[in-house]
Amino acid sequence: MLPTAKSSFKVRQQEPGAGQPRGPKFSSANAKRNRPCQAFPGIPGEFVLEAAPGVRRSLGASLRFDSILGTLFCTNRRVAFVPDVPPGAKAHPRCSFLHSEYDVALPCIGKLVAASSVSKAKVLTASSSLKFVPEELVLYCRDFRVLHFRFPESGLEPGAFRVTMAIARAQESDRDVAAWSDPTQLRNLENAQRSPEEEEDPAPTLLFESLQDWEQELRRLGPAGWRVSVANERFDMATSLPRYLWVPSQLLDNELKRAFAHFNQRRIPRLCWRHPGGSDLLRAASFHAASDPEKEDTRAVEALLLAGHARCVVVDTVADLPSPTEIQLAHVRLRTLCLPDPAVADEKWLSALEGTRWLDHVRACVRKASDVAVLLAERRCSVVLQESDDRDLNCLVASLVQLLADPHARTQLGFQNLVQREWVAAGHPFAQRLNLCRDGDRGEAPVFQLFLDCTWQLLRQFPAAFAFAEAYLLALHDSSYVPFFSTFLFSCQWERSRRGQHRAFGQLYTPVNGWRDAPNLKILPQASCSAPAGGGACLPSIWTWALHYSAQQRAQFQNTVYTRASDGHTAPPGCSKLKATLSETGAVFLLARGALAPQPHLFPWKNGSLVKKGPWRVPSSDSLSDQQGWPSSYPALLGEVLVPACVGPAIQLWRRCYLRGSPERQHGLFPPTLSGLTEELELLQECLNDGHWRAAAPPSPAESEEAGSPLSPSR
Amino acid sequence: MEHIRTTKVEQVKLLDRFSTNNKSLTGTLYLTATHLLFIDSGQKETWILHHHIAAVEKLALTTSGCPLVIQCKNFRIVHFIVPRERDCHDIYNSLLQLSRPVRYDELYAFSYNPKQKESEQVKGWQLIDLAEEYKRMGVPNTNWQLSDANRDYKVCETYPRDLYVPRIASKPIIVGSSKFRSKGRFPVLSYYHKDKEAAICRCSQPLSGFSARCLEDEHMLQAISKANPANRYMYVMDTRPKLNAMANRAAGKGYENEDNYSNIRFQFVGIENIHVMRSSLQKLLEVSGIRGLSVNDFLSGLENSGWLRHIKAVLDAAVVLAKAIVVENASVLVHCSDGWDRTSQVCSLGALLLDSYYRTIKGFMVLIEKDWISFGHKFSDRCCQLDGDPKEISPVFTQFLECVWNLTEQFPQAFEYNEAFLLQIHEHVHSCQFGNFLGNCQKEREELKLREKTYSLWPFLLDEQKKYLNPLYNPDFSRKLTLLEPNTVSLNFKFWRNMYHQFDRTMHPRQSVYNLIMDMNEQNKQLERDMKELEAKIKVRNKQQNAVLTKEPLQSVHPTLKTQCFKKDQPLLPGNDAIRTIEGSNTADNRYSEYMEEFSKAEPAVVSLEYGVARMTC
Repeated sequence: MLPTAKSSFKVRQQEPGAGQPRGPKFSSANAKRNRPCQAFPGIPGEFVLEAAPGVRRSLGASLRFDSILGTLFCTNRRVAFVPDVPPGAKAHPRCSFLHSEYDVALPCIGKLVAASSVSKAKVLTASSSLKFVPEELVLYCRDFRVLHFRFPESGLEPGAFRVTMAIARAQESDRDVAAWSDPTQLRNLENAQRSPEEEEDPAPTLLFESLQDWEQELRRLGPAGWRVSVANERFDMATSLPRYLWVPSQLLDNELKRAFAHFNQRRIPRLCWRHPGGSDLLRAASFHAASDPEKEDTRAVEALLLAGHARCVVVDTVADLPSPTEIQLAHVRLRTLCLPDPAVADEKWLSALEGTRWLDHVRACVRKASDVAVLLAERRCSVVLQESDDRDLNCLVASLVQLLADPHARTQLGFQNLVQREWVAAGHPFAQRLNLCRDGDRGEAPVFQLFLDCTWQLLRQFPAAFAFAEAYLLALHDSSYVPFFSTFLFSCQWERSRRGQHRAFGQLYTPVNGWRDAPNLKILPQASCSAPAGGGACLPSIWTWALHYSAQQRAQFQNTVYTRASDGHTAPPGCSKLKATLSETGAVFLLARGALAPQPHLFPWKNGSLVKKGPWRVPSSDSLSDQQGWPSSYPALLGEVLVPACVGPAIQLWRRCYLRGSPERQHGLFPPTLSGLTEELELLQECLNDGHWRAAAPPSPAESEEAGSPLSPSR
Repeated sequence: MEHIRTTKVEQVKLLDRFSTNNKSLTGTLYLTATHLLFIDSGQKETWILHHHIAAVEKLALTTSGCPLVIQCKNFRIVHFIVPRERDCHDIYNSLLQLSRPVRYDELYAFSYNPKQKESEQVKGWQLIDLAEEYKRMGVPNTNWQLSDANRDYKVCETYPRDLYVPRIASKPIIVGSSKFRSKGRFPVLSYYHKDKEAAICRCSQPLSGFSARCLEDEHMLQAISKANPANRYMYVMDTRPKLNAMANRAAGKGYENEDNYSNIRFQFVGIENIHVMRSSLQKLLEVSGIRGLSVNDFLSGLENSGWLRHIKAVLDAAVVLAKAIVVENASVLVHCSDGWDRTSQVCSLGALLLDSYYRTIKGFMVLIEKDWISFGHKFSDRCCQLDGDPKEISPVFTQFLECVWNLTEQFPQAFEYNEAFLLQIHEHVHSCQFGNFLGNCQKEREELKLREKTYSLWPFLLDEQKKYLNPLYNPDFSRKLTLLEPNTVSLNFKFWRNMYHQFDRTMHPRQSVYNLIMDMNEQNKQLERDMKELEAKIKVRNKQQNAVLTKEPLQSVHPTLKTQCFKKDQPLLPGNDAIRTIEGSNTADNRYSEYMEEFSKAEPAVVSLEYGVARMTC
């Protein structure tokens, strides 16, 4: 039972939260302006702090761009701009509650600048006092958007001043309260926004919180020799690991439990993905240096690493790749560079871009992932990604490898499953890395954004291999800064479930199968807010795109040049799995700089049997690569593996993402999106197909002659 | 042939330039009179035209053999390893000789024979007619006329015979003006903007020195500005940096003094000279040739080469030119030093921004023929067709193509041609396989009798134009734009990977969206053809039915039926109508369903036609 839940959609009925430090000035000011508040389509728990009508939102800094007239709201959740509907025009259905073009969640605001013709521009914080009436307000968002708001001509209107200060303060207070994870205010969100007519997704994204999800995905990979272990179901083995783990089936749970202690944060090697050819991709934290394993323990660790193979290749994901700190540094530099009026001279743009090192980091990640993907495809072995904590770059490399090697991961559903499994469930510390609650900037690092950039590079190099388009990646990029969704709020499943329990007041037990099981999911959309919703009803997941993107926007997620690859995993002939017994000793290699090197001392402790003798030793790294044609950078689709180019000119800046803030630096005629064009093409094709069978009236020859011709130029 | 000592070497290795682990292909190297040919074990052939070879280098002997590096003008770089040093030496010497022809008649164009009839050859040369082109622009007219001053190349050797000048510029003015201009290249019309009645004119620098003047030249410029009824003043664009122009004054050349000419506005636009461009390209090639090519070395190397900055400067100048015409309605006179390098670049790009015709395949050929070939861009010297002064070599035309490429990137819907077209033209500017680009000026070309002895490139490009079509081209959109306004902020200029790494397959993107769209386009067209075929079937069937109907005396009862049948002669027959017709004729109900069955079987059209004919005759 949820005692405080109210099925209220009217924003004004909601009382401001008691914990909100609001001055009397705000509440009284709020009471005075009832009219705009009523018009504001808020979300439950949201209330309007200030509103200023007659604001113009211009699309660029200079005046030659169009502007839209509307009302600017500042609420306790976000800054929202609601365009005025011209009389007589049909009101635009606001199906998405966080309009990607107009709204900014408060934690997403990076910098707030007020400008006026009489005074120089001023960066505003909660404590700063504004000494002039602002004529223009510029919001620099952390997702690289830049929003310009111009206040009405008279300028002297107090509204401009008030709303500006309200935003400055709200942005700051949000920092203190961290209200986004406050359960009492947000649990209604999903129910409130789910429109009943929303079609049920035939195959929902697997959240990997229940046993079924893990089993279903394991079935898809189809590996014999692996099972789902429930050893960590109550998070008593490792708090940062997911509840369920994929481990070799030969290994019993009690054997498995011996291994935990010997890895950092007790994060043991576990399966990420299995190549249809028989290789396995695993990920693990580094060995715990201070542990003292017994012989039995070492055997368990070895069994986990080898995973039934005779050979195991350890990939150190820390080597060659940037650290989170370096990623953050590059990202900050990149953001500074991509501001509308950068400090660097125009002709120094290239070297400044290079100086951010962001592209270099992207390249390093793509290269590493393609090395691993090729290794998986060419050899039969187990490949273990090892990082000290297994929570940052392992997520990135593991998911990139799967993008390269698994066609299923390149569909939208597959990609969402991938992110959910390798990032969310695997315990990437999103709370710290995205730093939405702004409790200290220390751990902030856009590792996930780097992954999205890498994905974009792949998408650009293999446009037909991906079912989703650039718009989808952009949406995901932006959404990761929006705290209305549970997906990126927590650092691991344990944290999430703790909050979930806390939230579900009446719930005295933790469901055995996890709390996001299938029946619950079905009930949720229809359930009214007062209905006993499970703990899962706290916040919607980001994958319910219908909540924040309109149907039209979602249609653009689809990549229309996508040519479906065979989704079924067909193992190449002659690759039937060799059953290697656990007693068989294996050889361990280390992948470094695109070459394999035998690894004599893998463990920090000395009594592993792996080190003693390898039945298959190679004298030097070169001979291995020459034996069967080590992956060169020669462009090839090794079976189904995408091998991207990583040389300098091949890695490019994601302009649509990073340069969005300055349309004037894009060129005047923005090229129409490819997806738009191809959509048109497909439409034509459909027409023709129809025409083919029904002998319907064909389009006039002028129309169908050139594919591009029916398109109006998009300006 | 006398240079060739070894014609065939076996067991030669071809190295991949960007491979990290020295991957190589083994095969046989053949040396012919015109090409160097490498056939690898997979029977893949690599042809290198001798004229394309820019430099041959023999590296120090290694254990596996003698390395031979060949750099080509189309930016191909091949790295062979020849097992025996003697073979390598022979090939090296032969290539040195063969890649440096001394006389024009040694060029490939004079031996190339595409097995065309003589009439086709003549027709090929007549494909581009510049008189026609000037007519398209709207000259001659009341203000502009064709001048016969240069009929016999008497006034200027490097200009074409037919020149268009203001009607009020008399012959003495022309001659006087030409004496005051470097190399006699006096101001003439390059492009006429019909709507604005403004003109782009071109010339070379005046021989003004520090104080010299020439009344005829002043009259000439005045005549140009008077030929524009819309605007009194005209612009004079000196495309050189101001310093260079001032230095030229010491040599008795220089630039126009604004005080001496009435109604001119003088402006420098600062494009560097051919020597700067040459060394910039050299730096660019060094950067793009680094093997590991990390992002970090690449971008700063690219910036330091200055290449993109020069491209930007050229395009900037063209934008200034085009805006003067469209926004201010003013005529513009463009010159540099001799008026055949930077002037050609700026005039042709300006016209490209202004006129959608030049953004079509045929139009682009016309543009090159007009502003580059006929006005005497020194292709032979700049592209080093003959063994000559290395200081005359400069990538001026390559820059022009790269500017156009940047425009196609910014306006993907505005151009009928694609990147492959530009690359192919670049290829043949250096190949000397066709006569178009041989020699330095029209007079020289006539003396070489190129029209009789060689073939023109353009008809061959037109024949395979399918390869060069841009699938996104939108002709209406292109025509509607009065002016292409590219954004020339530095970050919009990209490295042209497909030009500089055209032959490095490692560097290419893995899939091309353009190709995918082209394929879909092709599919669409196939479907359309299928549809037409099916329509033809319906037509036949209707006729047949008509025949049936005429046998039965139902015709008079259904007069409407007949009119509808006549309508079917339209090329694109609305299919629904046809079906309705059949339904309307009550006799044919059962037959109608029969037809539909047959349609769904989708039998070959020929069979059904025969079937129809059979029924008609019976």
